[in-house]
Amino acid sequence: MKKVLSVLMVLTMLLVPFAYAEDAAANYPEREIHIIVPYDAGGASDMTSRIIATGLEDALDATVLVENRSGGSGSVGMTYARNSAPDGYTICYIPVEVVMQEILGISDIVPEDFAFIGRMTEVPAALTVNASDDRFNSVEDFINYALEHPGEVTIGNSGTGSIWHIAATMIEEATGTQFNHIPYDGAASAVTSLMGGHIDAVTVNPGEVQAGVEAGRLKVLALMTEERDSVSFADIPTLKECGIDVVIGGWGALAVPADTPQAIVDKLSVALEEAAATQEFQDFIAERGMIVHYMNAADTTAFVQEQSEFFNEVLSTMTLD
Amino acid sequence: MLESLMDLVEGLSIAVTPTNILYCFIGCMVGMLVGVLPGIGPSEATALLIPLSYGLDSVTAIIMLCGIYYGGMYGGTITSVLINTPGEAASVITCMDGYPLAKQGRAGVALKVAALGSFVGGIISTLGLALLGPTVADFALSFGPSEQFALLVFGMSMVIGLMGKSLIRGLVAVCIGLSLAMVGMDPVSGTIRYAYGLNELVSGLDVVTLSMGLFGLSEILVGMENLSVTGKATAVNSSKLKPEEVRPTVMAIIRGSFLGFFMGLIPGTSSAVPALISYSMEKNLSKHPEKFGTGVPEGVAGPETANNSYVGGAMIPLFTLGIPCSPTIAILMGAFMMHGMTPGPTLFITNPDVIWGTIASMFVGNVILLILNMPLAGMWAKLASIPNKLLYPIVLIVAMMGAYTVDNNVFGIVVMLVSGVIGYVLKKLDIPLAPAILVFVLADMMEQNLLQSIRINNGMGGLFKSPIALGLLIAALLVITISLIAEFRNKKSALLTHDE
Amino acid sequence: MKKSFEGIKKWNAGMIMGILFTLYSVYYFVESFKYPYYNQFGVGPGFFPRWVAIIAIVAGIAYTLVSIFKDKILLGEAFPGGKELLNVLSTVVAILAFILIVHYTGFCIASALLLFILFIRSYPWWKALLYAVIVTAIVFGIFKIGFSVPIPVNGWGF
Repeated sequence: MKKVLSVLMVLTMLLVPFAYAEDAAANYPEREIHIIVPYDAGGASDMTSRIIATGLEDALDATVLVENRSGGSGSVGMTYARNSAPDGYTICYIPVEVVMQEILGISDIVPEDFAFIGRMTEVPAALTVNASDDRFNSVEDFINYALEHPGEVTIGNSGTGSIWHIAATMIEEATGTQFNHIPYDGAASAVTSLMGGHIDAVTVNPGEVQAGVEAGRLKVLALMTEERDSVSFADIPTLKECGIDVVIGGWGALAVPADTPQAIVDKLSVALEEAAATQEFQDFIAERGMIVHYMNAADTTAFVQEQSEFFNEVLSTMTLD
Repeated sequence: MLESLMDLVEGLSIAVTPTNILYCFIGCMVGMLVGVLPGIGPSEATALLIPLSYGLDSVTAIIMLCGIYYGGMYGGTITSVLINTPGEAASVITCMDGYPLAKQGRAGVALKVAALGSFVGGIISTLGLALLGPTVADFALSFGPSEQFALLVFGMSMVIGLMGKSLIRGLVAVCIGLSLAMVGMDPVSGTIRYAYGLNELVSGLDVVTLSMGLFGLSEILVGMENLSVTGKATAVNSSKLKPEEVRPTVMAIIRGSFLGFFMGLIPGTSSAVPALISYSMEKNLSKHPEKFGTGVPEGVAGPETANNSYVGGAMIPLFTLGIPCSPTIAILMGAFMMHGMTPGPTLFITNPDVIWGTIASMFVGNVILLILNMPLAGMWAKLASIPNKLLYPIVLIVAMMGAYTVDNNVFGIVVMLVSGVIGYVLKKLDIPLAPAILVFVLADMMEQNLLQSIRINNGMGGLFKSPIALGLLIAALLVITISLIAEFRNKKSALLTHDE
Repeated sequence: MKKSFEGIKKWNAGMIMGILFTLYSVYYFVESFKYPYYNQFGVGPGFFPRWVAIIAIVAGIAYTLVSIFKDKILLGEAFPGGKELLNVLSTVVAILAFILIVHYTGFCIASALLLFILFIRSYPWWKALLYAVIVTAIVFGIFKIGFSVPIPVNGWGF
């Protein structure tokens, strides 16, 4: 028995052919491409990836599959993608959190692990409260109340160290208030808790609270963007207008492992530009409270570098709790 | 309400068009098949098939995806009954009595009862969704972290009912489940615990992998000891209930329907919770609680009904408030959005045809599942009579692929192997496995909710301020006390009669 | 050899399990000190593990004591010996082998090998091989082609 086994094993080992032809880039793509989404299915990142995947399919003439690998504030999926073969068949959806993973000690992922294909979206943040909460009818009310009751206003976020957690902390720093940050497992459960009146506010993407606002259960006090929204939240002021200098938001990019041949990155970059320009994608993203803001590979790399420096600075003076 | 009924009839006219019936059927079939395959649960299947739905009309697409959801819920039952391997957390409980029934050659009974229960549960909860939807949505929202924690404590107290013959052995199982649940990133502070630098452990152990190991692989290992022993009933006995079993089974189905529906409303619970509570409830209400675990049909009927009627309940927060209550519902929500609709109250106004078509299609889907499964139950049951020497290796490789699929990583198979060996040892020492898995499912949510509650209220106060939370905690305390007294009495009587 | 084996059979399996479990719990308890028990808002990530470990230690000791004094389970009674044990162990080893080789050989070869090892106990070799190949093909078809699961393959695509 043992002999049979060992002989078989040796045989099979010998049969393994050596991989990868040299001119892989020229024929790319030859088989299906996987987009790794480091979050659960159904969320904003997942939907962005799925809709862009259909666009990429047309642009590249190849099957593009979306794969969810959630967990560890995105580190599980990103680590998987980083360790994949740099052949362009594994693409990763990269959220803003990529620049914070190392600083926050969540994982050892750094932006340099990836070659960026391009940025697709900007994900703004909004300060939202329960509609029946009479204490807060404007940003001013909110800040004044928080100043009078330090540590009492509870703000839900989508996880410790998430961009929405940092957004709330930046409001704290800019106004001298002190909130009680409540981490949830994703933005949806934080919003649910807000609707039930268990917490006072959330600082998540406006798309996440849209249904609640339409139901008359939630009200958005302010957006944390540079300028007002033009689609769903046109009458909502920005924090900047209210005299609070906080502009923060997330973004979504696509990247491949760092050692991917430049020719493949270029191919993908062209395809992404095409996919991001489709009307379908534009409409979808706008309806979800996000903004389409395409950047090419080089610009994205520079932008991520900037973001890295920005959050490094922000986080070094900030105590997240 | 009358208006809702009118809308429902309108919806029915959409749901019964040939195309929609066809896709509902496809959804149910696919769901059932993936339910049978371990590792691919309803949420994975729904996610995988979303792209397929792009080309379809939006109502048709949603109908198909919903079909996958409840079809998958049913499919998980089949493997629990036949090979003691739950396809998803909700069917862990089904193993308790389903597998013993199958061993007695009554797999057909278990599967039929489950199909019938799922049908009734599905219909009642769909009715509830159609008629009560908006009214009960507020009830769902009143469950914040404190209330959810109390509910989970209540669920945990029900686990005592599953501990089998010895409290201490049960406690060991509970501790194993609890300790494994701590592995990975702490949901509140983001601290990574017990991961030993392994990236695969950062997101924690997967419940499906773990239960496939503890239940499925350990069963296979026991079978591997001697493959020529069939250990099976010689013939497939009649798949009819005995006369004395009818009443408790019917009652279990009725109770399970309502229980599941209301649990579905509560955000953040998993369908394992109503199943667990239903099982304990049936055991406590039964005239012969000692027979639970040896193969009583009501032990299958109650939980199976509850986890199916949970689906209808869970749709309410989605349709009325745009809140996804469970992972699968979250994916469904994504599917709605992909088709250009935002779930929430406005959907009733902007796309009434989709909402009511979907709700009505759930009736159709449940009828399809019932029609499919009544005759199929017999066929599946025959599958149980495949000789072990052929069946076990097949089950093993499918389970291994399932474990791989969970994370697309060989590490999943490693976890399954290790937990399979542990499960084998525990089985040999007569330590019950179900408490370990259930506690594992509950512990994660429990810790998160407790810590959230403590932060929101700056202390434990939140648990006592809320009447719901307080009521649930008191109920949990009562359950534990009563079980302990019963246990003590049983021991005493057993000692007196020298039965042990 | 035979004699010592008989001796092992008489060991108290419950007690061994109890001691092992208690040791595991103690280790768990010690590990839990790596994570802070309190943070500024109340309990921290160390809170749950600490209490779980304490309950587990109590349960482990109680289980050990009960096994020693009341419900003795002998190793020989609880676990099979000889050929049966060998069957179980070889199954475990076969799975291990699968895990180790699947990345090099691809799924199909590893799976066929695993199934062959399991089938050959009860079937003549050609039947075992046939079954192994058929089952592998079906499983591969369902997962890889049906559900696009990225299962490991070799350079030839299987």
